[in-house]
This record gives sequence, C-alpha cells and structure tokens, in this order.
Amino acid sequence: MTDSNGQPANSGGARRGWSLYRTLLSLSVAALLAAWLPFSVIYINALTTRVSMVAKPSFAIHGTGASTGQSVHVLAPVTTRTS
Amino acid sequence: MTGDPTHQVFWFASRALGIVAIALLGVSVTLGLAMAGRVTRRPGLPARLKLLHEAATLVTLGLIATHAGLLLFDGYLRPDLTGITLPFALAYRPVFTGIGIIAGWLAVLLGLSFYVRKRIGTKTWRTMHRFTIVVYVLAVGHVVGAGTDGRSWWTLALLSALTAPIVFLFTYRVLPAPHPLRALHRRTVMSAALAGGTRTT
Repeated sequence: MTDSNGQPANSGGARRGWSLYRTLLSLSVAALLAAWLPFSVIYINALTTRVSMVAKPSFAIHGTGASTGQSVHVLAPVTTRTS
Repeated sequence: MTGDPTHQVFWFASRALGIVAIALLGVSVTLGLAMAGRVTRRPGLPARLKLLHEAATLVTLGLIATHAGLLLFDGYLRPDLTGITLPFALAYRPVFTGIGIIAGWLAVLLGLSFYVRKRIGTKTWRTMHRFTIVVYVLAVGHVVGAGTDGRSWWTLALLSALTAPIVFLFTYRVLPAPHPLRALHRRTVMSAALAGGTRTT
C-alpha cells in the first residue's frame, strides 16, 4: 500500500517513530550529562564541609570513665547530612 | 552512617536527577503552552515542538522515577516502596514529599494519557491536559519545601528562569483572543487611516 507519492503508507508513522526515538535518546543522554553538574556540586560541597568539620572536631560526650576514673572525650560522629 | 560523601552517593544522585527533572518539566510545560497558544506559526515548527514536547515529557517521567527509585538505596533515609509511592507516607518532610509524590503520579497520568486520547476522547484528553500546570506548581512546591537545596540561591534562580516563561505563556493562553470581527474592524479603520494619511501628503 502506497500513498500519493509512491511511498509506503506507514512511512510517515515510521519516520515519526524514528524521529521520536532519536530525540528521546538524545534528550536522555543530555539529561544524564546535565545531572552530572549538580551531582558534582553537591558532592564537592559535602566533601569540603566534611573536611572543615574534621578539622574542627566537636566533643559530644564529656565524662569520667567508670573503671579508670579518667576524663573521657568521645568525638561526635562527623556527618554533613542535614536531612 | 559516617559523613563520608561516598556513602551518600545515591542521595546525591537522587537530588541531582530531581533538579534535572524539574528543569525538563519546566521546558516541557513551556513547549506545551507555546504550542497551545500558537505563539509561533513558522511552517514545520509546530511539528518539531510537538516532538520535542513529547520527548521531554517522557524523559521527565523517567527522571522522576529514577529520582524516587534511587532513594530506596539511601542508607540514611531508608524509605520503603510505600514511602516513595504513597503520598505523606514518608517520615521525612511528609507534606512536601507527599506533594512531590502527588505531582509525580499526576505527571504519569497526564503525560501518558496522550497515548490513549483516542480511547478517552480528544475533548476529555484536552481537559485533562490543562491540569499539567498543576503538576508544575506542585513540583515547584516539592523542590522548595522538601529539597535540601530548595532554598539555595541557585535553585531559586533556576526556578525563576523556568517559571517566568510559563507564567507569560499561561497568561497569554488564558487571556481571550481578539474577536475576529473586532480585529477586522480595527484593520479596516487602520488601513483607512493610512490611506487618508497617504492622500494628504
């Protein structure tokens, strides 16, 4: 079955399908690459925040060891996670 | 759980994909409004815009699914499938994550309704499709309310850049078009005035 131009009747549909597939694939690749930028910013931000927190440790627990009687300082866990 | 960023890689990836998802959703809504408002009539352009609109919508849906799915692997939040699929079930900022989940399901429903429009009727589909703007508004609420970076200057700048054309095109679409007879009358008056002007010079 052909259309008025002698082309197969479904060639328009097939062409549209291919165009959609091509656009979809290109856009997916672009989206994944675009996600790399905020990912890097978030990652580097977490890394630098952690470094500054490690450099300035906070002592969360103060007290005296039950058996030894010596003063005990326990470092607070280092986390950059706020949520 | 330590603060080592490598342990939070799924959390970071989910956030990054969420940012790209809202950006692409904004682009998709803008393209849809541009087509609906017939802003441009250059030959061949509407077909290209339609193709891009469809592809952007499908990729956005994929990004939303991945954004939610990656949270399942986050060792800190530890949500289950219910937490990421049922609104208000997640303990973390429940209202805003709930809004995001509603927006996600609405996006799936409205986005994929295009493929069953013949079955549901074009009129019903058009009516449904007008609610796409609600998806965008809910998504913006989710980003600002639930996003860790939601109130950072760069997120707000991105949201402003995405929202401005949407507001413009939405207003353009909602405002009534000039009445054809009134436009014809205005054109007649204008051409008469121009003709009169030509005669006097």
